[in-house]
Amino acid sequence: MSTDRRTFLKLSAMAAASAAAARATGSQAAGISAAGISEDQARRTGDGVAWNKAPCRFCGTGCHVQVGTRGGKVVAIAGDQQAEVNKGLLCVKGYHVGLALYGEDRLRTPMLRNGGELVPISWEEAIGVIADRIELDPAGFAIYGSGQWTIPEGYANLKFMKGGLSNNHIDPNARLCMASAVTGFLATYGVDEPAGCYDDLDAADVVILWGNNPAEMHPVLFSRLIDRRSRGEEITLIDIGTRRTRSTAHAQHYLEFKPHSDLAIANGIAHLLLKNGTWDRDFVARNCAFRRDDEKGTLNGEAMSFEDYVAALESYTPAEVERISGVPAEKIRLLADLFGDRSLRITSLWCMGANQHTRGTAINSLIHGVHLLSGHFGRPGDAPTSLTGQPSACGTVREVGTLAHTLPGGRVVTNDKHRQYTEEQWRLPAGRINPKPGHHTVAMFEAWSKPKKEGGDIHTIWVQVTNPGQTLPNRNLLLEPGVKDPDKFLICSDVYPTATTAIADLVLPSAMWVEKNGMYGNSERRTQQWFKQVEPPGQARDDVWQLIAVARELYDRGHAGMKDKDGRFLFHMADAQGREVPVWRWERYYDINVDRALFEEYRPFSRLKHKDLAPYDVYAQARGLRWPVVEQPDGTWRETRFRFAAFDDPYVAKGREIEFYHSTTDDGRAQIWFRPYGDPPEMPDTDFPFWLCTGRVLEHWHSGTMTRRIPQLREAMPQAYVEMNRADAKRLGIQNGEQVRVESRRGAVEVPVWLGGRGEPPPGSVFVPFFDERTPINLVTLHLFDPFSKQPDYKKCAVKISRLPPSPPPQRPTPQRQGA
Amino acid sequence: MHASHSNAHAAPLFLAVVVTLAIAGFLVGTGEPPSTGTPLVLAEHGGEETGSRPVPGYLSLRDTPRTGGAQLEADLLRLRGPGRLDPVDLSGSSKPLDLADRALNRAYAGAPPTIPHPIRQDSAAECMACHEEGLRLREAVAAPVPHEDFASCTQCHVVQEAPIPGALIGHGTGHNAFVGLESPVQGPRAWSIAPPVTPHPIFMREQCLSCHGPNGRDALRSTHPERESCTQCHAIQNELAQSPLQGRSAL
Repeated sequence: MSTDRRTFLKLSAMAAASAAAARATGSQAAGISAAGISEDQARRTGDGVAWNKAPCRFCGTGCHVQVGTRGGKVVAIAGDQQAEVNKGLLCVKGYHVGLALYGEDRLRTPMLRNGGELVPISWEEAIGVIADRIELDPAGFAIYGSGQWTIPEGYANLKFMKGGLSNNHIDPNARLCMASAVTGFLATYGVDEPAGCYDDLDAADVVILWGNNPAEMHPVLFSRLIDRRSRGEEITLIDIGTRRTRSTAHAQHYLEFKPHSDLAIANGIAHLLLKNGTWDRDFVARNCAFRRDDEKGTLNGEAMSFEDYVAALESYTPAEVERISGVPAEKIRLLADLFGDRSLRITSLWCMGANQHTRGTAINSLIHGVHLLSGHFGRPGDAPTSLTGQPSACGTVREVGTLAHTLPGGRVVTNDKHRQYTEEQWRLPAGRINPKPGHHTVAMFEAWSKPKKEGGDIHTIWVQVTNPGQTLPNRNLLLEPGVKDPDKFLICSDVYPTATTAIADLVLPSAMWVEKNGMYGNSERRTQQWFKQVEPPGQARDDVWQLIAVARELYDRGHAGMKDKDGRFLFHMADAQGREVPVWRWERYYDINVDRALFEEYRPFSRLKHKDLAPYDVYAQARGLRWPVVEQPDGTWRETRFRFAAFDDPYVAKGREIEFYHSTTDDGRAQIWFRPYGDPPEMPDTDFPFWLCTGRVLEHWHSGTMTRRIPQLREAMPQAYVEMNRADAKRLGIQNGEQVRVESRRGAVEVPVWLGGRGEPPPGSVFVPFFDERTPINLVTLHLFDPFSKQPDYKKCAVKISRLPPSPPPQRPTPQRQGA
Repeated sequence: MHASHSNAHAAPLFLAVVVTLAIAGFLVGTGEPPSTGTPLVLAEHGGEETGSRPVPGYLSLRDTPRTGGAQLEADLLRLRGPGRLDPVDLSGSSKPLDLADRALNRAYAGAPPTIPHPIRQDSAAECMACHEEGLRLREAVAAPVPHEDFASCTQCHVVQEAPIPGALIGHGTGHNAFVGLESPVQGPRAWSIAPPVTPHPIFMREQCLSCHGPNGRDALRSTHPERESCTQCHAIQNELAQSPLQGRSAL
């Protein structure tokens, strides 16, 4: 041990001792007002640490953590053993989630761009600037939100835009993330979100990963699955992927397919089920119908006969599927044999591979279709389960409905009854809600980046809890022109400087995670709640407060939309005695629990689609509950593990084993779709010979703004890279670690090559993670999207890889020849 | 803090020291005289040029099995690590350093430690080669995993140093002001020589000997690793126990 290290250790030991001494003198956590965590809810340990529950801030898995706070700061994290999702286990991001609050460059004050520089201003000025921009032209104002919005945040924003401004230009980043999963569920079952849940991972005999790498992206779920092997259970894991990953290392079968050809694989399974007679006749006869696209291209398509369905699949023979996909015919037979065996329990998992796909709705519905055709549905372990990437993509975006065309609880703006119900619930005058859907994400940024005189009808976007500067595809098209246009204005509420705050005109510092009350909804229909546990830094404030403050400013200026039909403020809130609380004043915001008030107002919306939510206070006592949460005669609330199946779902009609009670055909049936394979819009060619796939890595969450500020995660994965096949590297003369240029028709980045690293793509493919804002790979990706979901395809486009010209050798003085 | 009860351990400790020294002395004594640590130099092998130790032939090994001499013996002893009967430092003097050393690769007490060596990035299959039983190679200790059943090691444990060759553009973001919960120093005792309660929860740390076994840090080692039922005498710190048996409380 070197002297330096010993000295350091001694200093550390002394520091620890002083901390212990300080603790012994009785310093306690800063008190949080009554609407935040109450003292009796935290459990205190002898070391002066108060522990309380919260869902993890990061992905859609929805683990619960125990947050340890002392002296007003988070000091420790533990996995929550009472949480059914994670049973005490976390991943490396979750164990370090507390550190996400303490990067030293947290935003602490509102800032307005002035002469190119962001200059600190007061909150009053900032709220005034936003109100000015809205008054300029309320119809040209847009909000771009997030699957990281809490449920109350999403609900308040939706009400503000659609109920207050009669403006439907509100869309979330989840459009880039799981929109195709939504359209897949809607087209198949008539209602969104998975029927099964994570319990299926405990019961499945076979788990199929469709373009999915849960070992890195949903690590706790992956462990829940493979740790069964340590206990002597047998599971067959099949990885259908376009590159080898850490998940592949645990799989018995790896089926490597050519990008986009997953449609052919699914059709190949269905073909063999029919050919071999191993499809489930009874299940299909009772519960299913067949469907194909219609000429108008509507989401619900048109009915097709069973005979037509069989004929449509006729050409998807194993040999033909092998030709299209590159997966050997015997592996297609393997899949079909597994699906053809009803004694097995089969769970399918998928996430961005199937969703970020120009045929995303198609592949989503085909995966459901294979399960329905084979009858692998409706028993524990038999489930097609789509996973989400964000902690509340389901709870906020999909259930509250913060999309350009939706209203709360599965309603849509184009439906008269839905608008009418929503107006009544919000106590608005009839006709307040605009029946025309607003701009979806790509259209919103296109309209912002197009000059007003050319029809670019969005002048201002307020970005909340997301980072489009890094995550929008084809940024050169969707962002750069707007940044340069003086008529356009970008507002960004966030917690750290990001690629978006760097181009924003107004930057607002937000409270994050346990610095505020919150509610999330995870991938398995589980609604979760947490209390504020520490104060946000500087002048950072809750996102809901920011919105309500703007609404109140407009109200005070006389904006009619900010009043309900009785002239009350749109966000009227009262205390237990019925007295109005001015929550738009920050010092009064925590006089009541605003989250609770908003959630209780939202809750009745959940009944239409049988997604019943329990009262706020029930969630406060639970580690989340899976809807429908149905009140029992004894007053308790029962969650539902498997929808549409009589063994668990109380809404299935008596006498039926399975009932799809939101069927698009109103007959209790789900739709089995035929969707043909077709080539993707951009494929490698001689100029751009490689497929590019983008994605995530274990250590970093999405655009890395939080995780790149956590030392343990940053050191383990400090920068983006391009992963390529060793044969390609050898052919191009590229060394491991060499900096190369990854270039598409849209843009280019320079990143180092990592050979034989975390994963390995096949020859002709490369992979680049998107977490690193210094190498924004979304300059390169494609902005073309699925026709139904409007979700862009980040998983495939054509690129070329070029070596960089050697940097010029350092200048040296010419050596003087010595005389002979 | 151990002074009050160290007498109780004195007799067995003394015995242990004597026995250990006797065994070590016997082994060492039968070899060559203790080396000062410099390599043996045998002229006929040209050792001066390479500075390396000569490899003994099979014949010489048969005839004089300990040709490697004291150096080899000493190395083997170190490889073996402290034996179960080796003395444990009960003075407490090494504890602050040992705990601080342990804290170096943990964000807070209870955090999963980061990995101080390169790993295979695409699979966790190799981890258990060393960490299943645990081993010691000179100064380096591979602790046996304290939690069975978990197979995706890299889910929680990440490397301290990035594996990407080049590390070309640096890490980017700056300092993090998080201050983690410090390690507990000592479990509470009912009276001066009562067996201490564990000062930490044991969830995910069920294999006590992972840290408290013969290869553990000096101040953490048990004086009696041969008694394998730890919880027979040491009650579990229950403050953060989250057992479902306690019902679904708000926490």
